[in-house]
Formats: sequence, structure tokens, C-alpha cells
Amino acid sequence: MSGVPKRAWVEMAVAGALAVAACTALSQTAERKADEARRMLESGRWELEQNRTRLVPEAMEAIRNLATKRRSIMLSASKLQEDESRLYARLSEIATQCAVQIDQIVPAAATAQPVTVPARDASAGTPAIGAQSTYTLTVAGTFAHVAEFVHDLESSAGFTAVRSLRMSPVDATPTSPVRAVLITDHFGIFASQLGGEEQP
Amino acid sequence: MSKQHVIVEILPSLVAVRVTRRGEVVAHREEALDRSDWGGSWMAAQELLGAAMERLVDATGTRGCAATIVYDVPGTSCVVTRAVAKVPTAQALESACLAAESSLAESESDAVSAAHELHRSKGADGGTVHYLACAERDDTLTSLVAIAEAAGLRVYAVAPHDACAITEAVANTMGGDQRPRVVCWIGRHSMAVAISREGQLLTARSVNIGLASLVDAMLRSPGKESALALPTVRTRAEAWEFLLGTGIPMPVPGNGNPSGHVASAILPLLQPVLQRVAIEIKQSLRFEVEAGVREEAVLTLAGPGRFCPGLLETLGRYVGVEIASGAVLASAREHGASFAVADSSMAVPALLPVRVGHRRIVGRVRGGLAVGCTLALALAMQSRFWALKDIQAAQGELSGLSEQLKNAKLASDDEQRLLQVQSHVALARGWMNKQVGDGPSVSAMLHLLSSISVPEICIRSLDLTSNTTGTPQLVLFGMTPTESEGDAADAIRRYLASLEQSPLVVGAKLGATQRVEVEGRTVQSFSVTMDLATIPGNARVAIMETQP
Repeated sequence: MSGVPKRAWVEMAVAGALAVAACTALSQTAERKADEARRMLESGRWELEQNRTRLVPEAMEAIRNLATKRRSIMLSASKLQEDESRLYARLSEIATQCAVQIDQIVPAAATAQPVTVPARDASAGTPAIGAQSTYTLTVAGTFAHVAEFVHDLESSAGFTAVRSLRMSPVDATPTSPVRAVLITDHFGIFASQLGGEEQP
Repeated sequence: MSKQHVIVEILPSLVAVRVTRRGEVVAHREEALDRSDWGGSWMAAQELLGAAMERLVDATGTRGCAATIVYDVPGTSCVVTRAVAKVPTAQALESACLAAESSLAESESDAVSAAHELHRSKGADGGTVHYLACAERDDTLTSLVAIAEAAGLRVYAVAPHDACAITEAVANTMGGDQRPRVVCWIGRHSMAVAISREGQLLTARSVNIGLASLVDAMLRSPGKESALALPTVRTRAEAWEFLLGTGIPMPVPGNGNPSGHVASAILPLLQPVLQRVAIEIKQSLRFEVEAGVREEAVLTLAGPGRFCPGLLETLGRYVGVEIASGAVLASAREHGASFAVADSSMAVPALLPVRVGHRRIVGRVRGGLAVGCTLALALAMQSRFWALKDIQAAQGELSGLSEQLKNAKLASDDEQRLLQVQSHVALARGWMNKQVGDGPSVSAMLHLLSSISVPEICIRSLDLTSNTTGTPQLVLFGMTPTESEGDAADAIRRYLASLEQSPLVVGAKLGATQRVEVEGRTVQSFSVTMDLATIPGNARVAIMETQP
């Protein structure tokens, strides 16, 4: 063994080292790529788990239906407050139905009452949720018709509440029609505060 | 594919090429060499040997085959050493090699030696081990390998002739007999003696004398008598033919007998050689076997000498022991110059020139390295393959995941949006409940007032406000005819009672009453202040939401 030329040993050592290096490079490169792919896979799985919905589809559907319905009702009921002409039209319609005469409608200054939304984003402002407007209505009719008018106001004129009522006879006769002065509050929710224009 | 062995035998008087397959000789060619004695002219004989070997290789069609060379050239050292079994094998082999190198005729500086275990005898203290070692000059081995390679062979191993002879003699001497067993392997130019007893090898050694010595004796200075007696033995070939055909004649008494005449003519010529062989055997016996047992020894011949008629009997008579012509290893077979060891599993020390040995080492290391590299590469490729497969699987799963993730994100966004809308709706409802607040149902109150059946009461005015505490308060002004004051009071009382019975009224309190003239009639006017029940804001909002 001792007489074997050194050059041969060196050649073989170099060849062996090169082979080992090549093999290591081959396998390590592939392993590195495989590790990266595995990491990406794990990351994808984690992300999928994070994005998995917590509600079953049936619950989602039920919530969607309820929310849609409520939103729709609220939007519909709020439209009268948003649009004065529509409110007048509705009041006139009710008055006609109840056979009362609207003598006067006097609007008070609209008072928007902002409500702070629990903001998720600190930079978000504090937009108002809805607005309130107040009117003074003067109507005339029989007691029963005025009562029916007030009933319809409370139940079918959007979010309307009768704040005060002052009723008195038109003249001194006991059977004379009455004149009623009502102060009504009309409330409306901004559509933007109900999840925007788009449907949920 | 059957394994084929090519054995090249190089003797001073012969060069032979033999091809065996599965122990059977499938080809054999030999060529006699003119120079019978290479003692001082080995280098000069190389050219002659090379030409002869090339012819034999061509004749046997073994060009390019790996061959084992069994050679017999002057100066080869071949010794048998003995060591107790406790001695480590490596040390024992090294010492055997040193012994062989030291007994080499030439300088030890360029000696090549090899040794192997010849026989292991059991006994007390672990028994003994015999080692066979041989040594040769490197240039001699180089010349032999060069000749063989020039003839077109690839040299697998080079083994000294004496080592083969000793190995074969020892192999033949093994047996469980209690009597000493002497095996005398006699070849053309040398012989080996091995003695064993009860399966224990006692000694083994080689002697530089063989059948060629008998041939030489027959041809040496033939006198008139021998020439007359053996007129056909004039050449070396004729002498070999006589020796292997007629053999050693037995001395027959009486004149005129032709056999006796031949014996008396030839025996004196052969006797010195035969005597020397016998002495060598006797000396071996004397050294290794105690007196008394020595006479019980049984002599057996092996090797080419076994085919010399009368040789065993003659030697037995000279040595004074019983002879046995029993089975020996099928060594020589039909060709007198062949060994069983060369084509069997019996190992002999193989010598190789330093250069060839180094080349072989380098070749083996390179081969090992190539195999290792190939294996490593294969492993790396396999590892890479599995890794790529993993990557592929991961990518496949990842693409599926991304699709799921896309859907999940959509669903999640949808859920978030839905929850957000729900939250907004809830917030808006809360706001609305708060804004609408608790309050009376004005329409219900009016309906109550119109439904109370006290015909004497006439409502003149109503005033719905809130008191200082925020409780809704309804102040009613009414009147009732007063034909009788008691009736008016009764009507007011009943009216008040009816109001108080309603759940809409928390409390009713009669205020000031007054008699007044209305349209010429006297009426009793009165006022009632009622605290009204309130409806919670959320209930009021719920009522508002039920609108068509």
C-alpha cells in the first residue's frame, strides 16, 4: 500500500470528494425544495384553517335571511324620513284614508343624532347611524277619525312616534269636529349604516 | 456461465497451458523447452518462454483470459513455519513472510512475499498452526507477468511451484490414521514431503529433486553397459518415455533374464537419485516421528511421480516403510505436470510484482470508489426522486388547497360581511329603540277614550304631555250636563273609574270641576289628569316594523 503513487491517492480522494459533493448537492437541493414545499403546504393548511367559516351553511342562510329581512324593513321604514315629499305623500294618504283633514305640517329643524359605531379601525370616524326629524301636524276631523289617524301614524308611517297631542273642539258645540295638534318624531337609519347598498 | 480457469505452468523443462471448467480439463497444451536447466540462464530463457507461451495461448484460445501462473524458477523461497494458535494470525503471517524472505537466495530489498495458513492442528494449548510462506524477487515476478501479458493473458495470480507441491502434499496427508502418514509429492523438478499423524500435520517441506533428476541420471555419462542395455534411451524424450512407461525396474536375480538385465543396467544409474529421495524422506521421519512409531509409517506417492511405475515400491523398500497406493487427490490426472491445487479451492500464497500489486490495489480502490460513487449517486438520485415526488405531491395538494382557500376566503368574507350587516342592523335597531324610547301608545289611549261608555261625558279637549319626571301625562277636559248636580258627579266618577280600570292608565286624578254655560245650557266641566303606562322602545319599534 505504501508504494502506491501519491498521485493515484490524490486523484481518488479528489474524485471521491467530488462525488460526495455532487451527491450532497443533488440531494440537499432537492431536500431544500421539498422542505420549502412542505412549509408552504403547512402554511396553506394553517391559512385554510384560519379562513374556515365557523357557522354551518344552514345557520349562515338563516342569519342571512333574517338580516336581509330586517335590513329591508329598516331601509323601507327609513325612506320616509329621508325623503320629505314621500313623507308628506304618506301622511296625506293616511289622512285621506282616515277622513281627516291636514291643516298644517310644520317641520322642525332636522336633528341628526350621530351614534358612535364601535369602530374596528381607529382611523374610522364616527358616522351617524341615522337621523330624526320632527313635524307639527295640525289636523281636523271627528274624534274617532283623528284617533284612527293617530293609530295609522304610529303603525304605518315608518318609524314615527307621537311625542305630544293637543286636541280641542273646533267650536263650542259638543258634537263639533276636533282639531288636533300633534308633534311627531320621524326616525330613519342611513342605508350606508346597514351594510351599504349591496345586499349581504 | 461456467467459471473457467486458465493455469499456466512454467517449469524448467516444460511450459503448459491448461483450461479447466468445473474441475474438468477442457483444453491442455504443453511444449517442452530445450534448455533443461535454467539455473544460470533464467533471463536468457525468457524469450524462448515467451514465444512458447504465446503459441500455447493461441492454441488454447485463452487470449485475454485471466490466468494463474505456477512457476518453478531457481531462487524461489518457500518455507513452512509453525506457531502456536494463540499467536495472532497477522503476526504469524508476517513472521512467516520474513522467514521466507530471509531464506531467499538474493537480496531481500526487492523481495515480494506472501503467506497463508496451511494447516491448523488441534491440541493442548490451542494447538498449532502451520503457515506456508513464499518469497520471490520482484524482477523475477515482473518478468513472469510481463511474459504472460505479452502472450495475451491477464495475470490473476502467480504461485511458486513448491508452494503448490507442499499444499497438495499436505492436503493428501490429512487423515485420522494413528500411523504416521507420509505423502511424497514428486514432480518433474521438485518434490514435497508431508507427514501427519492422527490428523495433525507434523512437517511439510520441499526438496529440490524430481523426476527430471532420474531422467538426467539415465542420460548422464552412459557407459557401455547401459548403452547396450538401453539402446532406445538416447534422448531426453526417450528417457521420459522410459521412465513413465517402464518405470523403475525391480532387481531380478539371475543372468540371462531380460528384465534382470535391464534392471542391472539402469538401477545403478538411478540409485543415487532414489537414495537421495529416500534419505530426504527418512530424515523427515527421523526429525518428526519418534522411534518405534517411525517404522509404522505408511508412504504414499502423489503428483506426477505417482505415474512412474515401481517408484513407490522402490522408495518404500529404501525407506523401510509400508507403502499405500490408495486414493490421493486427482492431482496429475492424465497430464503429469498439473496440480490439483491450481484449479481447486485449495489456496496457495499468490505473489505479484510490486508494480502489479500496486496497480491492482489502485484498481480495486478505484473500482470500490466507482461502486461507492455509483451507489452514492444512486442514493442521491433516489433521495432526489423521493424529494421531487414529495414536492410534486405537495404542489398538487397546494393547488387543491389554494382552490379550497379561495372558496374558504369567499365564504369567510361572506360570513364576515353577513356578521357585519347583522351587527349593523343590531346597532341600528339599538339606536332606533333608544331614539323612539319608552312612551305611551297614543292611538290606544284615544281608542280607550272613545270606547268608554259613559254617555253623559263629553270630551272637550286633550293635552298629552310629559310631567317633570318624564312620565307621559294626559290632561282631559270634559263636561257633563248638570240637570242634577249629583248625576253629574256620578257620571264623572264612573268615567274616572272606567279610566282607572284600563291598563293604559297608571293613575287618574280628577282636577277642577266647574259649572259653566254652554249654548244656553248649564254643564259641569271637569279635568282629569292621567299618568299613562309606557311601552318600551323596542316594542314600539317592533310595532312600527310590522307596518305593511
